[in-house]
Amino acid sequence: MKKSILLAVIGMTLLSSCTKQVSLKEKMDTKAQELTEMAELGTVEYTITKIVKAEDIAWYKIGDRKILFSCKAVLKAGIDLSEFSSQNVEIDEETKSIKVTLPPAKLLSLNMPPEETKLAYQKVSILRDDFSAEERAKLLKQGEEAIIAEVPKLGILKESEKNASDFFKAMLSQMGFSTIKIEFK
Amino acid sequence: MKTLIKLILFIAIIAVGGYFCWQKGWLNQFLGTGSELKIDQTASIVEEVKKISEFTSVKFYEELVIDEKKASKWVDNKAGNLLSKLTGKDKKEISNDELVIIAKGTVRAGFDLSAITDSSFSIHGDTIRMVLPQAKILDVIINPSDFEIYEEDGEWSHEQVVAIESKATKQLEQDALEYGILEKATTTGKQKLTSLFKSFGYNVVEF
Repeated sequence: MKKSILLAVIGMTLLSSCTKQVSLKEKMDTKAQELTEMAELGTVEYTITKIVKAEDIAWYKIGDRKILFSCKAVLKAGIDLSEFSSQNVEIDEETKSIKVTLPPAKLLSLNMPPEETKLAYQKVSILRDDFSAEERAKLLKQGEEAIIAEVPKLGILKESEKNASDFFKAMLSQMGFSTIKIEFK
Repeated sequence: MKTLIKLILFIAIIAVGGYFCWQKGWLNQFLGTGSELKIDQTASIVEEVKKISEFTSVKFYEELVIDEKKASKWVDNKAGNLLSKLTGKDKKEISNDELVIIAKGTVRAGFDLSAITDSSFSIHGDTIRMVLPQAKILDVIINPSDFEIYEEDGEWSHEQVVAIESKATKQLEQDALEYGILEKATTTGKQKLTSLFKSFGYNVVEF
């Protein structure tokens, strides 16, 4: 009886470990890919640097850990033209004037390349474990979230709308319009 | 005897209670051990502001799994070399240091319209002809939130992890090109720009 229970437990353990391996192998072999159509006009690019730092100190832990990264991120903002239609345009053929109402600017992309993330400082007490790859990844993820949270303060959206207005004015002028008015919703 | 039973009962209650609190996460909450390490608040410094005119027409998304093995520092020495010769196994197999990362990346492609000038357009009545530049990859993005550490065995330095992540980024760009992202960006871009120019009153749009 005891022997069969032991065999069943071993069998189940082996089966569960196999399942994990197979699912990972399947994931490695079958790439999940998707292509989406879009119409976005990026008008401004901000390159920003940020220090991401954390201290791991607590009364019940012997020794402390400190880590500091220097990160670089590229933010692009612009106009999403996917909903843009002739309803957003007013044309007067006689006077060659045009009024375009564009959607408000938004953050189009944030790129924080791994190679631009430098580990600048790390201190780990002798009785503590080093920061694991997972812990470092979690800290950098928080750094990314902090950058996104700061977007409204950076003035990137205002700059983007100004550049979008300049872009459309230049393009519509090249198309032959003499009076051009650009507005944002 | 009674005292011993009472003591065993007391220890059992404490153990069960402790296990229950641990299961519920109350113990971690009390000790602060389960809580995620938080970063300190720091300001973002704007280093450069650049005016761009990038028309993105397609976005490619892919999930990648990168499995990397390395020889741990305990076997990456003369003794490890000897052990490798004796067992006939690679040092990576002996040490079993492995890092499996799941990456979710995005590649954006379209046209860089910054070089457009007066000569890029020619207009005849309600027909507009535009000379478009070649479609190109505008961004290859895998941010920290797009990486998931699936398996971590052994010690992996920041530089080693960055090297693996960079490998994932290169793989993503390569896969996007093989998928035909540039051809799709050209076709879709022309469709989207046609729709834009038609809203400006042109009935025929040519590229």
